[in-house]
Formats: sequence, structure tokens, C-alpha cells
Amino acid sequence: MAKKIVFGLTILFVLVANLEVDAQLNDELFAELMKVVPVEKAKQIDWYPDLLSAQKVALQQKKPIFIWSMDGHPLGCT
Amino acid sequence: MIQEEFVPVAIDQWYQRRQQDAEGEFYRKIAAQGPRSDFNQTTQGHYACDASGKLLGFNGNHVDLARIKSFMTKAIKDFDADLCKDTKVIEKGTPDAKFDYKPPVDGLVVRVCSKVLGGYAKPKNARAAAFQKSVGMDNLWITADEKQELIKVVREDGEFPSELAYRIARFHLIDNTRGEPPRWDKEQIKSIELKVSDGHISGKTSISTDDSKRGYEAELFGYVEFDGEEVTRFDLVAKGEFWGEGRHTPSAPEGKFPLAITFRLGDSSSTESRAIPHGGKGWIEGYYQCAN
Repeated sequence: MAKKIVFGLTILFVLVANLEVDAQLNDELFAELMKVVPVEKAKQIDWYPDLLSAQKVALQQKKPIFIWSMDGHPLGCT
Repeated sequence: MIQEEFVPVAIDQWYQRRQQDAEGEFYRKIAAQGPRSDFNQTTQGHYACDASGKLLGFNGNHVDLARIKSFMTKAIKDFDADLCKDTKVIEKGTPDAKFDYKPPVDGLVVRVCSKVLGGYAKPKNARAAAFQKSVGMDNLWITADEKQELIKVVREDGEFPSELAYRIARFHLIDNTRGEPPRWDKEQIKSIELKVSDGHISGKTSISTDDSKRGYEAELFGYVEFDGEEVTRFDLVAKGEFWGEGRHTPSAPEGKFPLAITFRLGDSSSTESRAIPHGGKGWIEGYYQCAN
């Protein structure tokens, strides 16, 4: 068990070290970075893209509107 | 809770507080009831309102989950659907053309995500810790003509389309993990070299301000594939050393730090794909024609 933990920690250390130092990009590192820098989680909510679409649905469904209003788009660069 | 109890909408209020159209008017009606009613300044925050535009609550842009939950709970309690029984659907009318940007027709939307991989000092509080772990987001918009040019390059091998390479460098090779970042000027792109061979993208870039206070030296690596006239894969990674920060992106790590940026083909019809690229804010023509 101890050997497995040491092996696991070694792999983790090598992986993090590879991400942080000036390692040459290759297929392996490319695949790892695509995992480490994931597509964001904001998609868990179905945001309406404009206020008037939301207003129409709010009337139909008799619900209040929640507005996430930012400098920069909340689902883009903010 | 947001999804079940509310109709959720996400906007960049920089547009709505300026738009001279029905959406702009509705937004200003709501925001004017809150504490940020000067439309020459930011009005950002979380708002709850009913379909008539009556404000039910404002939460600033606090990120504390307990505070957000309390704000939402109060708004739900105060909401009365009967007060909207005479409210009509607001017709969209003609949108203000100055602010009516849409993803390029028959083009591509590529989701861009960025992350600082290390170099931070120990965070002083939970908010700082959240920023240190955050993933920056943006969209890269590619026109239909550029898509065809890209397909041609993949077919024949060669240099990556120049305008597109500059757009990636100037507006997307940035550290946007802690807020709205400064863009790069064309003169600050010291080099951007990208080539395509057998569908494999490779290259490097060197970017720096004149005073060398901010910059990025990175390698790029990825793949682009197509089927007929459609691009079916656009996966690209930039990884290198970034240094410096912007007015709205303070508290970067000291000195040079590792920054990775990933690009993935997005769904052009999705809500997030409609988010205007940060580099095109207020001037989409300058975003598309950035190599001149």
C-alpha cells in the first residue's frame, strides 16, 4: 500500500512539475492541459442570452427574473 | 435554486445600460431602482425583478454563497405573480445596431479558457483563493471566410491564416483569470508563428509591452480537422510564462508564472457562444481586422 501511495505521489509530482516548468508541448502534455484547463461549469444553468426573452418566459411561467449583470459577459470574459 | 425558482439571464451590462432599444430601456428601468443608477458607470451585480421590471432585490457582485442564497430567498418571498397579470410581453423591436453583435454567420465559435498553473503566494482570504483557482473564459469568433481559409491550409499545409493568428495573439493570449484584462496592441506582438502540417498546429509567440512590465512567451500546440466544408475539430493549447497584471486583474503572481490557455470548438447556437469576445467589446470591426 505504501509503495502505491509513493508511486501515486511521484506521478502527481511529475505531472504538476511538467505543467509548471518550461516543458516542451507534446501530445501527452497537450491532453493533460486540455483536462486541467476545463470548459467552465456555468453551463450547469441554462442562462437566457437577453433580458426580453427572459421577460417573456417569466410572464409565461409566473416566475421572477434573476439577472447576472457584469462588466464583461458572465459567460465570456468578465 | 436559480434554475428552478427564477428565469436566469446573463448579460454584460456595458451594453444594456447604453442600448437605445427596448431591452436597454427595460434594463435601465430595473437598475434605476437599485443603488447603481448612474448609467455612466457600472451597474454590475445580481438583480431580481418581476416581468413588469419591479426590482425585488440587488446583491452587488458579492460571491459569498450564503449571501446570494439569502438574496434569492427574499426575492422569491417578495415575488407576487398577480402584480404582473396586466403586464405584456415587451416586443424586441429594432435592436440598437451599435450594440447588436452576433456570432459570425456560418463561421466558428471557439471557447477559450485560461488558467494560472502556479506561482501564487498563499491567499489572504477565501475570495483571493477563489481567484487563484479560477478559469478565465472567452470566445474566439472566426468568420465564414476565415473558416474556409483554415480548411484550405489544412488541406495544403502551410502558414496559419495571418489575421486569425493575430486575433488569437492580441485578444486571447491574455491572463483573464482575475477580471477583465488589457488587450495587446499590435506593436506588442513581437512574433506569432503558427503553421499547420497534417492537421497539426504548432508555433510560438512572444508578446511584451514596451516597458516589459507585462508579457507572455508561449508555445502553441493543437489540431484542426475538417469534413467537407465544416471544421470538426479545433483544439489548441498555449502554454508559457506570463508576467504582469492589468488595472482590473490585480494580484497576479510575482514575476513570471505559468499560464495555459485552451481553445475548443464551441456550439455556435449556445447562449455562451453569443457572448461577444472581450476583444470586440464596443468595436467588433477592430476585433476582426486586428492585423492592420
